[in-house]
Amino acid sequence: MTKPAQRALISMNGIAKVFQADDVETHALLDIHLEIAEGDFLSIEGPSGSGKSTLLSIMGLLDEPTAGTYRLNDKIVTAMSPVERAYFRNEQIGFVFQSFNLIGDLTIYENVELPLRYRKMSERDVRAAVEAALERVGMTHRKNHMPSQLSGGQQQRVAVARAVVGHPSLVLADEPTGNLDSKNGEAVMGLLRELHLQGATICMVTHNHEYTRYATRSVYLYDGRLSAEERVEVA
Amino acid sequence: MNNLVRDARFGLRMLLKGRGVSAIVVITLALAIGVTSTIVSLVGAVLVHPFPDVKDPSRVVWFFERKGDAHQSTTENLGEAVPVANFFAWKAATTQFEDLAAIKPDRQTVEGGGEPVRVKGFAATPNYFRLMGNRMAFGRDFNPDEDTPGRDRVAILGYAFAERRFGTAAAAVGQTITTQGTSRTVIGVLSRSFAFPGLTDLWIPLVVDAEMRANRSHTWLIVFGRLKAGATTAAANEEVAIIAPRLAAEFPDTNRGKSAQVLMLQEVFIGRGRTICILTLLVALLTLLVASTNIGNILYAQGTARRGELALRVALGASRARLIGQLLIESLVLCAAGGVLGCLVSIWGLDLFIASMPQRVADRMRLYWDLRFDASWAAVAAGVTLLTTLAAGLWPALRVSNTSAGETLKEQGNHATLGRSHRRVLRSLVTAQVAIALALLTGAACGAIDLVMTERRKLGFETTGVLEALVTRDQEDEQDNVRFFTDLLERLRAIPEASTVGLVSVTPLSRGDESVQLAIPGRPPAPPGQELEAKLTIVGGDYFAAGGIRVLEGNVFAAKDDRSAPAVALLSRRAAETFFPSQNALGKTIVQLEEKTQTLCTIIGIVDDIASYRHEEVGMVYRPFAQQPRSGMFALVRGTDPTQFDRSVHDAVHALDHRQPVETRPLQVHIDEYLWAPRTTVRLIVIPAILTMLLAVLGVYGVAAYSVTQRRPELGIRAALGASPRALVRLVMREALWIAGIGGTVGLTLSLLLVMALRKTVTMEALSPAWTFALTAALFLVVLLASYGPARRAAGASPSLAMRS
Repeated sequence: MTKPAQRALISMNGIAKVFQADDVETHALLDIHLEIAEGDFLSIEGPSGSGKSTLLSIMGLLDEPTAGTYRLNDKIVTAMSPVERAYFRNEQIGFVFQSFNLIGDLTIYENVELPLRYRKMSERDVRAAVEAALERVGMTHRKNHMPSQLSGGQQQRVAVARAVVGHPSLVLADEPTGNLDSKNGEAVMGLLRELHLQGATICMVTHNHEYTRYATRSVYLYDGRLSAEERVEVA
Repeated sequence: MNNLVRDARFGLRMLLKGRGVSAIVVITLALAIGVTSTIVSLVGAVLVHPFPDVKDPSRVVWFFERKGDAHQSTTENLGEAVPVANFFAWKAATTQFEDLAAIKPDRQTVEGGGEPVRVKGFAATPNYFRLMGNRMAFGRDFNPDEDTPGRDRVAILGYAFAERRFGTAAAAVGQTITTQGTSRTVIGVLSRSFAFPGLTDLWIPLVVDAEMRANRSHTWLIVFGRLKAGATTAAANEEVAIIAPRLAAEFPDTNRGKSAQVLMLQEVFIGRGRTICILTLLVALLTLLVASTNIGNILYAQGTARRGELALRVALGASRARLIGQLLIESLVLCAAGGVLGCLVSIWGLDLFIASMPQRVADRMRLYWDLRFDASWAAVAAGVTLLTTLAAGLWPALRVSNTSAGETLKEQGNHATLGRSHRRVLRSLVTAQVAIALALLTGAACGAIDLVMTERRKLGFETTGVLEALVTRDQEDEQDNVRFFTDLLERLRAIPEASTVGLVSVTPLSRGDESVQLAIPGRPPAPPGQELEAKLTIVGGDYFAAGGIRVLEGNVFAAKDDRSAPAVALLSRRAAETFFPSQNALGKTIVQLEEKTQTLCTIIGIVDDIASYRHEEVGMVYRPFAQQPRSGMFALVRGTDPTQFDRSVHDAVHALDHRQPVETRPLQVHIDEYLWAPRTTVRLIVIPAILTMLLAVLGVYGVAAYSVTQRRPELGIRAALGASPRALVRLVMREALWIAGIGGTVGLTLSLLLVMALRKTVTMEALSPAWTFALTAALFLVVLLASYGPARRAAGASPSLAMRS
């Protein structure tokens, strides 16, 4: 079945990132041109230090490029103020981190509802959204637990629920299986694929080539440059 | 040894690396040890070691007589002195005392060894110095028979006076002096520091002849007793309560309705100061507690932040002893620096405290209390802070050595879950600090408001530009005294800088005020014990103008109001309202009741009330000097600057009698001395309270800063999830609000309890609830401000931290 042409959700033109430490300049990213269409599942591969996480940080509005233009959902985000970026990030992007990054002092439910707490939503809508997100990842029964009471795989599922609870345009996953064993890794990847099949746009950074099979596109980053792109057939 | 040196070097390097924190710890230690040991040294001197030159002062009591029931003497309302005959009766009848001794104030003019000089003296029973347990510096004590006429021509001198008169104290022994025309041989000089019950130049034997020995109607002996070993004041009071009715039955004319009471010297001299001392001590200890908590907080936070480093050392093979030793060295260095600085603060604090006293107050204080830096109290304060410092400093090492290094390192890696329990501990400690600070601030505000109200209280007289000159004549002849003081007024008026001159028997706000019993013609006589009473003040010249006292109605005394004219009096507003309620007192008459005479006086004027020494609400009766002369009067000379005409006042007195002693000082000194006690009390509470508040604020800042540091990864995650900078500020400040809220509530409760306690024990003005809540609000605000800096830092948390964590 041929998919209709998708609108570009992300459009990066000439993105570069230079870190300055004392007199030393480190070029983390160089002249990145990348488009991600709505509904894509993009995998970014590359060795350590290739700039994968930096690219994902810029994509997630966590960091700013030193050059280039970045357009997300038809908005040029490189011109936004930090406060505008915070709101935009909250509305448009969901994150899944390698080390889960759940807040230890909050329950599972409170961790998942966190992105919604930075929006103006009624209590009822928040509750409904959180319950639905937990349901999606099969963690409803652990909603009153603390993160330290869960296994790594369970924590990452909670992190996925938190990433999707606000119905973002884009889910960014930074080495989502990096801290998990292979069984839990497969489970989390299955969860991401499920999200993708339900229509989510996902961009994932990984150094494990095995998991690129879950993506629809794969790009390779080496020394801060995109060096190759391949379209992957969904398994 | 090498390890120890290496650890010491590393410890010092760590302290220097965190020099900001180290400086805060050392300064906190110094202030805590300094302020606490200053206050405890002062309070210890007053409560624990009073009267350093009286032997075993806890057994020495002051013996009072009083009308009505016994046990009514309070430190605010002491009883009366004892008539001579009663003194001997009590001495013979009581069994609880080793001995009773008596003294009688006796100012004398001394000749010999220099210019004639008016001195403060006492006539004492020969056993007085033995009862006080004092040794002579030179010479001997009175012999028991030297209280008999003919054998009494001896004198004992105060050390300073002997030095002034004869060059050295030793040289005074054997010299001859003349007092009131009686030649006396100096038989002894008291030790330099002995000056009980006050700084005294001259002691002579109290001679009691047969007539005096039978006298029961004059009250004139100050009686002290030394309790037998094992006897108590309670037992002594029970005994005098049994003896009193016997004396009353035996001598009904003079002793009916009289009893006696003994009070510990400390109760008499310290009185309500005891409560103030205990309160001050409590404040100091709370300050120490808050400071210790603060130091504990800082070191705990710092140590916790180093758990990773310590765990790494354990992983690399460091023993528990090595870890403890390393942290011990760091803590000891901090303690040593803080302790030394604290002792310096304490020594300077005491010097500052003594320097802040009016000179006469300082002299008096030194007589009763040994006001000096007490190293033992500083050691106690240092010990408490040392324990805190060590405990807080060593805690992380103990924790690390009790858990596996791997777990600790893992925990260090998992930033999201780190710090919850640590933060809870710190938060609880700081909350306690805020509560204590608020309670102390309220207490301090209570005192400060009381002081302000006392200072603003209507004095009723004006001290600025007024010089007082005490002139006490040896001459007993009334006409001669009237002539002398009338001439003196003329000479003082002639001083170019003097605008107004008056005479008064007792200056306002002095202790030595005089009471008088009155009757109102046409009214039935008051039952015994309920006679009308007022304060009596003898005035001359333009006293009311010189003192700035308003005349409300009628006239003041004129030169014509002398012995040959009808007796006249002025009443204060309160006296007029008390004696003639709902009537105009002007033109009415009162009878001044004295032992042998009754004087019918016409009231010719009403003047404004003036403040009295003990805040008493008693009316004042003024009588003219020319109708009721005294041998000693204060001249009040009003001008612009009292120092400009001080010399002229001396010259005016000496022009009339070159041997006449005169003591001058600005009237304002009275006010300063009067207000010194409340000012000092407030200072002793306000300074630690402010220090405590600063420490609490520092604690809040520390917790907020620590919290932000520890929560940086979490803040990064929140930022990544869309938290705006304002949301992050709110997050951090919520913690401060929690501290302020809980601390404020507990502090407010403590404050209210404190205010209630203060109202019961100290006659401080009430602190209105509005003030208490205003202070709470202020502390709330300060706490929020203290947390705002770290909160602003939190707002700058980079969301990219989430990617790196």
